[in-house]
Amino acid sequence: MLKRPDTRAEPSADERALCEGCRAGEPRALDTFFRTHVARVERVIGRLIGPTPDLEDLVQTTFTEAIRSFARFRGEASLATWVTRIAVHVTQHQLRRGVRRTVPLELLPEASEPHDAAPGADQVAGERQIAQRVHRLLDRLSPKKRVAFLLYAVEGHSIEEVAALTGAGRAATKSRIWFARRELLALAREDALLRELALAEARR
Amino acid sequence: MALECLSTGARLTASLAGHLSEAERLALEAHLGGCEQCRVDHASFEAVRRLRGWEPPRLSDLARERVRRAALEAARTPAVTTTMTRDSRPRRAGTLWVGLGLGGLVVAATVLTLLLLPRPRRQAAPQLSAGDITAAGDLRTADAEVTVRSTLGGVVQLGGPLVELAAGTSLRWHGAVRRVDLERGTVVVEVDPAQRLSFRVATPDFVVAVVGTRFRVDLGGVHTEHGKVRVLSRDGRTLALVGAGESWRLPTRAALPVPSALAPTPPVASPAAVPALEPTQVPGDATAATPQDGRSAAQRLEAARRALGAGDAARARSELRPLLGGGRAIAVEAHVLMAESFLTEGRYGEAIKGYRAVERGFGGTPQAESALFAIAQLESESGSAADAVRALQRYLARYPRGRFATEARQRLDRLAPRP
Repeated sequence: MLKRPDTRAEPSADERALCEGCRAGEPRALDTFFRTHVARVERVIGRLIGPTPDLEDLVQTTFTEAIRSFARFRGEASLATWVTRIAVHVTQHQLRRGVRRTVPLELLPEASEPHDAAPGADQVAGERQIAQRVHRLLDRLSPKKRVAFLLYAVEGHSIEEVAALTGAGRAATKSRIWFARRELLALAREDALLRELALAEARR
Repeated sequence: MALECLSTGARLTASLAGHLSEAERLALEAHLGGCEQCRVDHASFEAVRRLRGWEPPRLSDLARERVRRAALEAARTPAVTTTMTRDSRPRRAGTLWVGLGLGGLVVAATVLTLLLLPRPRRQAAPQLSAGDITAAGDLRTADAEVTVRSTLGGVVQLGGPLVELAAGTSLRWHGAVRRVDLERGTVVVEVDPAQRLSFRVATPDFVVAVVGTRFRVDLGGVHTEHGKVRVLSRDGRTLALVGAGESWRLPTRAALPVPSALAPTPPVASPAAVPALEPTQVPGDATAATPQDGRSAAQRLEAARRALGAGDAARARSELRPLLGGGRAIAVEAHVLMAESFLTEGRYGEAIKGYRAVERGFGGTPQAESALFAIAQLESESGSAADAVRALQRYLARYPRGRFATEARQRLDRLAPRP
C-alpha cells in the first residue's frame, strides 16, 4: 500500500532538481514525475470517487493540470502532496459535475475487493454488498463533504492535512466532516439492508 | 438522544480514522455497551471502515501509457483554457455560432499552414516498453525485424502504435511493412488515427488492417473497441468489417472463403453451415419468412453478412433490399449492413446516406448511436471537416455519455480546437 503523503514535508534536493527539469519541460524529468506518482494519483481518485470508468480521464486531467502548473509550484510542499492536492481538486470537480458513472462492484476483478475479507464465501459476499451500499450512500453527500470525510475517516489524514489537500480552512474542514458523518449516519439508518448487514457484522 | 450520544458521534468518526486516544476509546466502548442506537451507528461505521482495506481498481499498463503520452503531449501544448472547466462552461447559442465560425477559420488556417510548411524529417522514436517485454533486437530502427515476447504481460511501442501483449504472447514485428505477425497469445493494439499510418496484425489464418482504432487480436479472432478494422484473408480478400464494440471470430477452417478462381459457385447455405461471423444478432422478428423465397429474415441477414464478408457487396445488397421495410429489429440491421456494403466499396457518400437513414429512422437503438458516430468518422476521413464537426457535435448532444463520447470529444478537439 502506498504511504500517504506528509502534507508538511518540503521537497528533497532530488525533488527540487526534478521540479526544475519539469519546469523546463524536459521530457525525461516529466516522465520520471509521471512514473513516480501515477499509482498514488490512481489510488486517491479511486478511493474518493469509487469504481468509475472515467478513471483514465481523471488521471490524465490531473497530470495535464500538474504539468501545466509547474511554473506555479513554489516548492512549499512535497511533489506527492502537490499532485495529490490536484487529484483531489479534479475529483471534487468531477463529483460537482454530477455525471459520475459507476462500475458495479460485482464486475470488478477480485483484486479490487476488500483486502481484509475473511475467507468465508458468505462473509466475502456480505462485505462486497456492504461496500456497494456504502458507495451508494456516499453518492448522496455533497462533493466537499464526501471528499473531506473520506480523506479523514478512510484515508486517515488529520484535519490539518485534509484542510491542506482540499484548500479549505481548518474550521470549514471540521464542519464538513461533522455534517458528512451526521448525514451518512442518517442515510445508513434508513438503509434497511445496510442496517441488517451492519448488525450482522456487529454480532459476529 | 442523550448528551453522551452526541459526543459519541464525533468519537465514532475519530475512531474510524484511528485518531482516538486510549481513554477516549475506553469511554466510547463503555457507552456502546449500554446504548443500542449508538451500537447500530457504530456497526454502520464499521461498514465505512471496511473501505479502508478496499483497493480501488487501477489502470492497465496500456491505459497508463496512454495517459503518460497524453500528459507529456500537454506539456508541449500551451494551456489556453484549463481542461477542468471544459464541460461545465455554459454556452450561449449566439456565441456558439461565432465560436464555430472562428473555429472553422482556425482549422482552415492550420490546414493551409500544414500544407505549405515543409514537413520535418520524422525522427526515430525512442524505444518504449513497460512491464515484462523481451525484444530480440532494436525496435527503434525503422525497418526492424524483431521478435517480441512477454511472459507476464507488458506494453511496447511498435512504429508509433502501442501494443499490449497479454501474458504468454509472442510476436514478430516487421518495421518496414508495419506488420505484426502474431505467433502466440493476444495483443491489444491502439493506433492513433491522426498519424494516418497503416498497421496490420497477421495471424496464420487472417490479417487485421487498420488506420486508426483500438482492437484486440488473438489467433481466433478480433474485437474492436474503438473505430473500425477490416479483416482480410491471407490472400487479401475482405472477410469482415468489424465496428466498435463488435467481434469477429475465425470460422471453421472448411468455411473460410477461398480465392475466387478456385471457389465453386456457393450454394445457398443452411443456417447451420453458415460460417459463424460475429456479431450475429438474432432480432426478435427474425424467424418470420420473407415472401420472396421462403427463407427467414434471419437467414437473409446471415447470407448478406456472409456476402459482405466475402467482399460481394452487390449480392449483400440484393439480400438486404426485401428486409428494409420489414419489422423494426430486422430493418435496422438491414440498413446498417446496407451502409456497410457501400463502405466496403469505398462509396462514402452512399454509406453516409445509409447511416443517416439508420440514425433518423431508428432513434433510440444502439445501431442509431453507432451510425451517428460512423457518419462523423466517414465525414472526417473523406475530408469534410466541417461536416465531421457537426456530426460529432450532434453525437455528443444526443449521447453525452455514449459509447463513443470520449473518442468523439478527442476527435472534436483535433478538428476544431476550443478557443
